[in-house]
Amino acid sequence: MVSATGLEAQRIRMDLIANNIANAQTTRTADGGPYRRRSAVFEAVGGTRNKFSGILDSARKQDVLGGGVRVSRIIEQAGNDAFMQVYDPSHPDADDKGIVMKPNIRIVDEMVNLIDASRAYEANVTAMNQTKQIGAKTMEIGRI
Amino acid sequence: MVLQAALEGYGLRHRATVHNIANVDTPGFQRIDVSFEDQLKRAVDRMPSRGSMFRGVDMDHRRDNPLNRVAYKISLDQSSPVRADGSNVSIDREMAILSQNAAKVRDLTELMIRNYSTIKSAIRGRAG
Repeated sequence: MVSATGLEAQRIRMDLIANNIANAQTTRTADGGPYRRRSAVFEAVGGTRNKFSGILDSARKQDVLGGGVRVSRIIEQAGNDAFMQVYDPSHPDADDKGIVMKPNIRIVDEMVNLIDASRAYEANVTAMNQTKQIGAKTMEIGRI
Repeated sequence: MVLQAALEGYGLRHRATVHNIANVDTPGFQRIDVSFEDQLKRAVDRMPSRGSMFRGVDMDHRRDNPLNRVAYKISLDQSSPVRADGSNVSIDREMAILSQNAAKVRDLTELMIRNYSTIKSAIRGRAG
């Protein structure tokens, strides 16, 4: 079911955002260093990707329509440049100059993404309900 | 029958739209379009007994039924405006297409049900 793939992908995205917000102040992780911001990369499943395969696929309706979306990978912030440097000598993770490296998570950005993800989730729910209604209506043909 | 051919097309468009909605946040995604109405209209025009309310009814069992040759064109939309992330899906537009399309499917299905009910009444010799 195509809408379900959308729901799943958006839920993974919302989980990652929640994780980012929860760890906005985390300066110590199992891998060492501050928490690194994570985000999901979406990828379309099937469907016509370009003109050539479009012509090839037109013989097989099934493939061309596409099977929704999937999270192809989850990326983590790379390198240390993006971390926010805060002067706080009393912090246990401060270096010898009193600087603490904090995750580069801006709560406003995360909230905006969260709302975006939740709206996209709702859109997929609506699409799913329409599919259900069409299916139910089609079954009525058999009840005559 | 024409209703069936139209339902096939709207069903495909529904699936394409659902796919587009699922990919609303996929960077670089190109929306999928289904077009068939022009072709369907041409097929109906090619049918014999033009002007009769029974147009096409006698074609259902024939191999040269023009409806069998309606090609449902599934293509990538190359013309819609592209967003900053390379995708050309507009969620508002897809939702509008979705509900409009679903309404058409419901109406056509309802017509089909009535069509069969009429036949049933005729066979039984009474209404209902």
